[in-house]
Amino acid sequence: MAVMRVNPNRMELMRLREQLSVARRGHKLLKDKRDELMRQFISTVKHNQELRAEVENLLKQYNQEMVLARAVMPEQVIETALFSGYDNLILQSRRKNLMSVQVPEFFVYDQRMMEDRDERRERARERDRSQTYIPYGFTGVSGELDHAILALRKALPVMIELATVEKTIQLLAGEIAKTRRRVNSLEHRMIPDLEDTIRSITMKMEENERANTTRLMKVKDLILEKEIRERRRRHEKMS
Amino acid sequence: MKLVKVAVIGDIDSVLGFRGLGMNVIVTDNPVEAFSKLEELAKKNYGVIFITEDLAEKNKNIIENYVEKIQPAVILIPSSRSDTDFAMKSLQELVKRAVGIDFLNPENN
Repeated sequence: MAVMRVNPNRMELMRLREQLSVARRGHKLLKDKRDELMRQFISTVKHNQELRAEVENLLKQYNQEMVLARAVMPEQVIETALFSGYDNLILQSRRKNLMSVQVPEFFVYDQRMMEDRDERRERARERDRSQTYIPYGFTGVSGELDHAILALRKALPVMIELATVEKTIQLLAGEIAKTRRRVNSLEHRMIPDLEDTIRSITMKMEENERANTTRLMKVKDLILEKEIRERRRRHEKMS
Repeated sequence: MKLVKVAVIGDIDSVLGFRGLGMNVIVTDNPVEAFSKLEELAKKNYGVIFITEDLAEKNKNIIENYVEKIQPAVILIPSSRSDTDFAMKSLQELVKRAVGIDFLNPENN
């Protein structure tokens, strides 16, 4: 029980009542928000677990292929082959609004989206070829490395999706924690405090009212007594 | 809509192949160095940064610094040598902190 330090008057009472009704409404809304966030969060987490398992599986396959590649080729050959490529993997990142939480969405960037149709068809054929695109020359590099890279390429879309989903989870988690704190502070602090204060103000005011009544009664008695005495005196004088 | 790049941080065995996909690969075994590299990358236009679990396990800053930020997404991947379950564990930790209960852990259900 914590009563706020306010003056017990009607003005304050009205203000606090207004505040309490706002707090109650806010509490209800935030609780709904929390529940919905939680629902989305749980389904996203489940999806994330599936994706993660898949990524781990695919990367394990890649690692096996890589071990084979390493076995048939000297380290330097692999390194030079791979480092000759350049960082050209570009993702499209879009912001999505999920329950007023800004979350990013990643896609593998596709240049073809920007071009007109004829070119796109031309590019589509190229894309089929680029599915098996290997970023290094074939001389001196054994086929095992190709397998490894292809295995990794298979993992890429899943990894990108994992990135989207996991970032969403991270951001949602923060929002849920914040909303939960707000709900709790409203529920356990703000609303009971307001209720207590309102009760104490009402009681104080009733008390004042009673005090006033008794005082008035007392005053009335005094006045009456005085009146009676005066009349009695006058009466005595007359007679 | 924005265009962003992708980077990988980890030991050479785990990350070398990602070079073949056109990601920016940063080879390091040192968790402290990994973190400073991560900070560097985060300032540039990197949307997704994959980092190996064992590095992240040794330096908690790696994930915690970027959890609340919308970019970059720091995502853990298993490394080729050790298989800790750190990615899963850190996710569980996150869920626990947010929800208050650990519904992912089968022991608690």
